[in-house]
Amino acid sequence: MIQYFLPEITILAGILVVLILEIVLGRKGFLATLVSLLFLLVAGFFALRDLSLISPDYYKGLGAFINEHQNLVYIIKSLRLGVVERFMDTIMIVGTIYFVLLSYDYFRSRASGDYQFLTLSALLGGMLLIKSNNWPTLLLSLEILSFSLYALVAFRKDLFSYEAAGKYFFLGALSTAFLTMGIAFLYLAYGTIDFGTTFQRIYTLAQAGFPREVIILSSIALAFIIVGFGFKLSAVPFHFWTPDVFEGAPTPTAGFVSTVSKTAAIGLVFAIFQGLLVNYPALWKGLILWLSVITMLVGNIAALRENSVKKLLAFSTIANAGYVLAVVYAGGLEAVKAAIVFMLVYTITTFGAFAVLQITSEGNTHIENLRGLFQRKPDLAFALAALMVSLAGIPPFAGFFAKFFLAFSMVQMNHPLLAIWLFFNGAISAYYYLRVVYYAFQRDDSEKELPSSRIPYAVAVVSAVLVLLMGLFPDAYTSFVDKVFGAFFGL
Amino acid sequence: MDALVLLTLFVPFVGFLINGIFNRYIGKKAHWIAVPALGISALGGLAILWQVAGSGQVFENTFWTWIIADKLHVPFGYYIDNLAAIMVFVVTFVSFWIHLYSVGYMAEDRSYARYFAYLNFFVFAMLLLVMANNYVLMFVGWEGVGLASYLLIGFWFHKKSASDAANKAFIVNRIGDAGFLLGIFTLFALFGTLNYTDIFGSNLTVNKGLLSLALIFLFIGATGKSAQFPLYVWLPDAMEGPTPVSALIHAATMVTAGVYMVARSAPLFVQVPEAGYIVALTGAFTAVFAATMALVNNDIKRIIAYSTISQIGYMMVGVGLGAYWAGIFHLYTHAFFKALLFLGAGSVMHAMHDVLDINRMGGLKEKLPHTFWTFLIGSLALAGIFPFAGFWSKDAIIHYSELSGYSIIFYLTLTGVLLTAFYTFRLVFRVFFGEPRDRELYEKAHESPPVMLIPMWVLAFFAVVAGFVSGWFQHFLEAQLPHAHFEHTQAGITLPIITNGLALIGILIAYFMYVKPAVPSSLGENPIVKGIYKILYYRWGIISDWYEIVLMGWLRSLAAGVYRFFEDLFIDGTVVGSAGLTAATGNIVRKLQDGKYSTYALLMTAGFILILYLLVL
Repeated sequence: MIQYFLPEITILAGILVVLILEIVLGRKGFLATLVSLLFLLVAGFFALRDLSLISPDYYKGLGAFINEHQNLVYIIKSLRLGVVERFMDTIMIVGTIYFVLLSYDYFRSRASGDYQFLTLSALLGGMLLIKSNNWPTLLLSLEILSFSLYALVAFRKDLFSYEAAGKYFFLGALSTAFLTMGIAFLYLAYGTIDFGTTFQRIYTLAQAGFPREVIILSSIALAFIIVGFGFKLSAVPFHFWTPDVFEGAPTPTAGFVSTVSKTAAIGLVFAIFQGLLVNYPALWKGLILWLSVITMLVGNIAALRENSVKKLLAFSTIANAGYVLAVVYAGGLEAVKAAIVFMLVYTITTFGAFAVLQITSEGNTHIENLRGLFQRKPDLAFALAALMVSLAGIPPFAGFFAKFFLAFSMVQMNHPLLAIWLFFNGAISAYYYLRVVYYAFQRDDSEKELPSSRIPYAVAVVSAVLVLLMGLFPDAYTSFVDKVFGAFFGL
Repeated sequence: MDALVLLTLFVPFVGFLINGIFNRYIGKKAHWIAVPALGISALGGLAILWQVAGSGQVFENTFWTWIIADKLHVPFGYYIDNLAAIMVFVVTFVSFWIHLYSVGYMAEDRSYARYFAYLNFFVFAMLLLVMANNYVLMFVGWEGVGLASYLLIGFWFHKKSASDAANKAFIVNRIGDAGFLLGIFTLFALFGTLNYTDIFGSNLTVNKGLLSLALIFLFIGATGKSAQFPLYVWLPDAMEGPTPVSALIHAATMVTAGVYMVARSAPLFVQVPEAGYIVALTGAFTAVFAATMALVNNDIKRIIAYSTISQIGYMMVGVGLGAYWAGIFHLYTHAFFKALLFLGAGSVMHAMHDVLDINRMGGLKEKLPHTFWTFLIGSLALAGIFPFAGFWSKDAIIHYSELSGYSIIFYLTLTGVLLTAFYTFRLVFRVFFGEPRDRELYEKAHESPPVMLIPMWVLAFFAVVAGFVSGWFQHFLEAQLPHAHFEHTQAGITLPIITNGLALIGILIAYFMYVKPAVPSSLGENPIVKGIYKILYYRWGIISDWYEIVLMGWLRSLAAGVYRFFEDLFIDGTVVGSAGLTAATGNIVRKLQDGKYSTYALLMTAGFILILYLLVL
C-alpha cells in the first residue's frame, strides 16, 4: 500500500530528516538545502514513476488493501489518488525545487533546517490539499500549506516582511473562517463530510430534482466556500492581498506563493467543481465563469500602470488564475490536460522571472531599476525578455502553447467567446510584460553594479532556454500528458 | 545521412549563435568561428553530394513533427535529392570562399563579429530553404534568408541610403512572400498536405485551374526573391550592402532561390505547361530588360546587379520551359562567375577607396593584375564565350528555347547575349583599360591581400571549368527531375557559332566605343540616340513614373480611405477609447489597493455578500 503514496512519504521523511539534522548538527544552510533538494528530487522521481506506470488497474491494489484493513479505512479514504493529482504534485515539486535553489541564494546559512521544514511542509500541505477526499482533510491540509507560507513570508524578519505576513495571515484567517462556515452549510445540506458520499447524494438528487431547501443551503455554502478558494487563487475580489504580500515577502517566497500555492489551489478547484459538483452545474457554472472573466480583466488592467515589478507579477498571477478558472468553467478532459500544461509552463516561466528579479530588483522593485540590465548582463536581459514574451503568450515560446491549449479546449467545449476573451486579455497583458523588457534594454549611465549571484543567474537562463525549447517542441511534454491520460482512462 | 544533414545545417547556426551572443568579447576574432564553421559545412555539403551521387536515391527523414493543427502536419525534416544536393553544394562551397574573402574585405569594420554572425545565419537559413521536405519549412528558410538579406543590406545602417535600401528590399519581398503564402494555401487546399513526397506522390490530376493558380502564386513569390520583372526593383539598391554580401546573397545563392523553388515544384509545373510558359516568358523579358539597364549605368556594382537580374531571367527561361537541368545548371555556373565578378568589384573598390563610379577608374590592369585576370575570366564566362562556364549553361538554355517553339523567347534570349557581352566588356574596358581618369585615386590603388585573392582565383578556376560537366550534370539531374517535354535533338554546331558570334560582336562594339573609339562622337548628339540613352540611363524611368501615377495614385487614395475609416474611426477609436477606459479602471483598482487590511477585509466581505446575493436570490 505504501507504493501508492511514495511521493508524500518521501516529503514527510524529508521533513523529519531536516529537523533531526538541525537538532544534531545545528544551523547548516547548505547541508539542509542539499538534503531538501535530494528529497524533492526523489519525490519528483516517484511522482513521475507513478505517472509512467499508470493504467486503469493501477489503483486496484489500493482498493483491495482497504477492503482487507477496515480499521484503516478512514485514514486512507481521506485521500483520493489519480493522475491529475499526480501531475499537479509534479508541478508543485518542480516549483519547490526552484524555491529551494533561490532561497539558498537569498538566505544562505539561514536557509537551514527550520526553513526547509517550512518549505517541505508547505509542499506537503499542497500535495494533500489537492488529494483530500473529505472536508476536514481539506481544511487541515489547507492550514498546513497556509501556516507554512505565513512563516515563510515573515522569514526575512524585517518590518516589510512582517507587514506582508501579517496581512497574509489576517486575510487568510478571514477566508478560512468563511470556508469553514461554508463547509458547515454543506454538511447541513447533505449530511456528510465525505466527498464520495456527497457526490452520491448530489447524483441521486439530480436525478429526482433538488428540493428547494437543499438548493438554498448549497448556494449559501458555495458563497462561503468560494471566499476561501478565491483567496487561495487570488480571484477577484479576494485578490487584494496578493500585490502587498508579493511586495513585502522575500523574492523566492513570492515565487512560491505565485506558483506552488496557486497550483494547489487550481488542483483543489478542479477537484471540487469538476469532480464533486460536476452533476450540479447550475449551481456553480455561472459563478465560476464570471469570477474568471472578471479576474482576468482586473488582473491585467491593474498591471498596466503598475511600476513595481513584483506587484506587476502579482497582478499577472491574478490574471493567470483567471485563465485557468476559465477552463474549469469550460470543462472536459482536454481542459484538465490544458490546465496541467499551463501550470507547468507558468511555474517555470514565473519562477525564472523571479530569479531575474532576485538579482536586479532586491531592495528596489521599481521598474526603472531594471534600466541598464542589457548593458551589464546582456544574457540575463535576453533571458528576462524570453520569459516575459512567453508570459505574454507570443510564439515560439512555451507560454504561447500553454495559452493556445487553454483556448483550444474552450473552443472544443463550444465556448469560442471565452477563448476570444482569453486572447483579448493576452493582448492587454503583452503591454505590461513588454514594458518590463523595454526597461531592461534601456541604457543606464549610473555606476550601479548588479550582485553576482550564480544560482538565480543559472536558474533564470535555464528557465529561459527551457521556455524556448518547450515552445519549439511542445510535442515532447504534451504527448506525455496525453499518453498518461490515455493509459489512466483506458482510452 | 541524418548526422550529415544536421551537421551541415546547424554548424553555421552555432557559429551564428556564438558570434551573435558574444560579439562584444569576440570582436576581431569572429572569423576564427565563422570561417571554420563554413568549412565544416562545406565539407558536409560535399559529402552529401557524394552520397547522393553515389547512391542515386532520394534521402528523406523527419526528425519531429513541428506543427500539428487539425489536418495540417508540418514535419521538421529534410528531403535531399539530386537537385537539393547540388544546391547544398553550391551554397556551402561558394559561401565558404566568400567568408574567407570577407576576412580581408571587412577587416577594418567596427561590427566585424556582427557581420559574420549575420553571414552564418544566412547560410543556415539558405540551407533550411534548400533541404526542407515541405513548403512550410521552405518558407521558414525563405523568410530567414530574407531577414539575413535585410540585415546585411542595412549593415551600415547609419547610412540613410543603406537603411532605405534594406527597407525597400524587405518590403518588395513581402509582396512576393504574400504570393508564395497564397500559393502554399492553395496547394494545401488542393492536396491537404504540404510535404513534397505526399504532394508529388499523390494523384496529380487535380483541378488544373486551381493548380495553375497555385503555381502562379508560387511564381509571384519567386519573382520577389529572384528579382524578376516587375519586382526586380530592390536588387540594384541592395548593392548598398558590403560587397561580399552582394556576391553571396544577391548574386550566387539567395536570389536564385526562386529558380530552385520552381525546379522543386517541377512535378507540378509539368502538369500545367502553360504556367511554365509564363515563367519562361517573364524570365526572357527580364533577361533583356535588365540587360538594357546595365548598358549605360556607371556604378560598377549596379551593372553587375542588373546582369544578375538578367541571368536569373535566363534560369527562369530554363526551368519555365521544363528544361530543369539547364536552368539549374546555369544557376550553378552563374554562382561561381557572378560571385567572382562581385569579389573582383570588391577588390577594385578596396583599391579605389570605395569609389563605385567607373568614370573615375581606368587603366587598372597594371595596378591590379590578379583582380584584372580573374575579372576577365568572370566576364568571359558571363558573356558566354566558349569554353568558359557560362557558355555551356547559357547555350543549353538558348538551345531549349529554340526547341520549345516559342520563337519570341528564343529571340529574346539571343538579344540578351549581345547585350550581356556589350555591357560586361564595357565594364572591363572602362575599369581596367585606357588611361586612368582619376590620377590621384589611381596612384593610391593597390592589389588586395592574399586572403581576398585566393577565393577569387578559386572561383576563377571554377568559372573556367564548371561548365565542362554539362553532360554529367544533365544526366544527374534528369535522373530525378522531369525531362524537357519537347523533342530533344542534339545541339548542333550552328547555335554555338551564332551565340559566340553575337557575344564577340558585343565585345567588339564595346572595344570600339571605349578602347579604340571608332564611333563618331557626333553620334552622341543625335536626338534619337540621346533619347534612348536617357531612357536607359534613368532605368526606364517611364515605368516607375507609370507605377507612380497609375498604380500608386489610386492605391494611395484607397489606402487613405481605408486609413480614415479603419485607423481613425475604428482602431483609434477602439484603442484610445479602451485605453482611456482601462486607465480609468486601472486607477480605480489601484485606489482600492491601498495597503490596509481593513479595506481588503471589507472588500472581500462585500464580494462575498454580492455572490451570496446573486446565488441565493
